[in-house]
Amino acid sequence: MTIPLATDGIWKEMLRKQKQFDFEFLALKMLLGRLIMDVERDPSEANVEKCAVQLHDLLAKNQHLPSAMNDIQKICS
Amino acid sequence: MSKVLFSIDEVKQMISQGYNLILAGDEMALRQLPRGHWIAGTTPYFMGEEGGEVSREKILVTGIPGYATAAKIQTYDTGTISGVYKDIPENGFGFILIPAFTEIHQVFSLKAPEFPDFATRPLLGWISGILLDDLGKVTPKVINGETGEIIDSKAVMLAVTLPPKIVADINILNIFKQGTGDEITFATDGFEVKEAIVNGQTVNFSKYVTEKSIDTKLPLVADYSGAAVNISIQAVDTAKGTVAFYAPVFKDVRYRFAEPVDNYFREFMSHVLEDDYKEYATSNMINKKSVLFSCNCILNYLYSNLEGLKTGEMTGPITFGEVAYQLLNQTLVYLTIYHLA
Repeated sequence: MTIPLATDGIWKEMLRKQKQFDFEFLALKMLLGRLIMDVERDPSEANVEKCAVQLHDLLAKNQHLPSAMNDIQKICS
Repeated sequence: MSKVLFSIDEVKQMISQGYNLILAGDEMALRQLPRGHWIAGTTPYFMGEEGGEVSREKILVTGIPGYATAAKIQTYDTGTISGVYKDIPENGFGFILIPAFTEIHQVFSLKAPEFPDFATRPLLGWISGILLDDLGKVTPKVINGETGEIIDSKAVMLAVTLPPKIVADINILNIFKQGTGDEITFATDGFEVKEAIVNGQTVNFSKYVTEKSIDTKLPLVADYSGAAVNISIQAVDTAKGTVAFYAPVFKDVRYRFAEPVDNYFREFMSHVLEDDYKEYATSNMINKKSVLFSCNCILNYLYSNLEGLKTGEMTGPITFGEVAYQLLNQTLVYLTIYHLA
């Protein structure tokens, strides 16, 4: 399963709560929760892009974990 | 059920055999141990193989499995703690012990989410404590077994490297859910507040809690994209007009008090069983994973009378705070090791 690129719109949709998933990977839930608040405080395109890179990188670094694999599948489906 | 609580002599023998160990025990028991490759935090409260118990003589042992390729002990002060996530191996986990009621506890609790590489690698651990009767008489400690340092102002971490195909993942069991009551936010981060913003109105929070007759055994709960994160109330001082917490509240995070729980133990065990069932029903990982460590909060132990009760495979120290990437309260944290095909 390939992780969508950091520039893929899915990350921004998650950060703006336009797309919500029932994630398993605890680190993803915690980081996403914080980044959503960050984007609410600063909704500028530059900040959203910076946050999208953080989400992408977290999953890229942890894609071997079963919980992260399941979440990547949810994002891609 | 594997044995997790050992006598001081048994632990001395394990240390002499060169095992990498994470220990929990009363300070007087831990002080009797020889130097070796171990770290420890103080607590006399445990969920042992025979159930919840208080002991000043026994030591709870978590052994790092022999397949780990490295296990490095590091200490952190308030100036270096920000590097903690970066020090965790690329494949492995970091196990941190932090003494309660200290500046390092405060700094980690408040700032961890802003540290470089927050959450990118597994960091778990717990906040060391003391027998509650000893509050004010002794301080919680952590110990670097390699140097023999007994520390009440620094954190200690064991950074464990795992071989390829063996991975570590952290999870939590939290029986509390956000209730449907008022939405509560705070204007600043902190362990103590005077004011809160309740449904958009600024109020004195101690007055609010008192007037609403809120059960302060229930934590405030924030929803981090599906992960319920608790903030437990330590004290409500109506004279000073303050409310103190066991973990900091964060500016702009939306909290609600938790839904009441009728019977903690029943709820807890149903969560454990539900998790096992989900795993069994949906995963091909069954029989390829094991829980290496778990810890639970002193507040859950006290409020739910866990002394003498067994909580399945979830044994471990009873703590003054739990770490799963960041500080948590009233939550069971556990580390699962997966052997990938």
